Amino acid sequence: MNPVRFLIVFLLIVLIIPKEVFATFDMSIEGNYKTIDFGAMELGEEKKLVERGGYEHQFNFTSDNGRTWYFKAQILRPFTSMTYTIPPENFQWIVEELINGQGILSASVSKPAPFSKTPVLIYTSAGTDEAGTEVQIRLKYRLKIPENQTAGAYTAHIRFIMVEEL
Amino acid sequence: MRNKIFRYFISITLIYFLSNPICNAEEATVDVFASVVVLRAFDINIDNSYLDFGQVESGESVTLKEGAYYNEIKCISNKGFTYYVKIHIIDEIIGPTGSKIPASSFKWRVLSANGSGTVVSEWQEFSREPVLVYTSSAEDETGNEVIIRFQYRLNLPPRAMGGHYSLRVAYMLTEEE
Repeated sequence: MNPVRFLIVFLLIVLIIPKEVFATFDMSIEGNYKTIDFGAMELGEEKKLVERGGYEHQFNFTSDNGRTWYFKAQILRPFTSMTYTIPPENFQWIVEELINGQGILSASVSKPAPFSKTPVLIYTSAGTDEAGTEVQIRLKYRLKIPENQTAGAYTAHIRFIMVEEL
Repeated sequence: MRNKIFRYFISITLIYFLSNPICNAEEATVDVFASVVVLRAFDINIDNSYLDFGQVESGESVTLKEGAYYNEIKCISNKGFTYYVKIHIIDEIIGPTGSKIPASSFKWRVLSANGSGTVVSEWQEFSREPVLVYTSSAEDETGNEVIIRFQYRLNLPPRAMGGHYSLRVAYMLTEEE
């Protein structure tokens, strides 16, 4: 082949063909709300956020890579107000429902599991999860205020991760 | 020359595809922020608010529940500020036909306190002005319940008039020194 022609073909393949052709790997959170607001709570009080029809957030996952993927949660900053912190284990996630998924939940439905500073596994994909079928996971959240917690406005930062590495 | 160029493009192609995400582990993230307001607690409770010395003779000294505590107060504050527990009598000790017993005849003492603050542990005379019982520590101010247990003693003056005497005692939780 003429080197010039070869170069043109090469550039067409590498630069013009969109990446979407290769694979889909996507996670989205339903709606635009990316907040969890527990409102006002008293010492020792426990509250579950289930305000939106039995769940608080719905995560949608799509992957057609043919490889196992994992859904994890990590608390980057626990509930903090000035120098005061609510222990991360007092903040928990609960799987309310798994839709279309053929994989494995790491905690039973409706069973609370604590957030952690290191990513904790929520779901492991299997079967059609890895062939483009959209999987939906609905979560709700639980928070317990310790009996000895300084008053104030606390905020926390959580990260949800869809990843192909365990 | 052609072979050299061909090899060159093969190398670039391999490098491209090996570095392409299709060959690497993919990752997607969503960040969420959470909030809560922990409400303020500032409260004091007493388990037994009736101090009954029974029948006491003139000149006699009586301690309620000698060797043990008579009543306890429970204090809670999570405001993060120093608080003080104080005690005082509201009125004078009034008896029959307006006769009085000096407030100094009536004493209190802290038998124990489970907080890590500063406690006044010696026998103290009551007064109408609030006197300090306990000063909180930083640990107490995060909502830890502090329990303070009291003893009470009455030294009836030798020539006190016979009859029924009564008074009111106030226990205060305050942030003012």
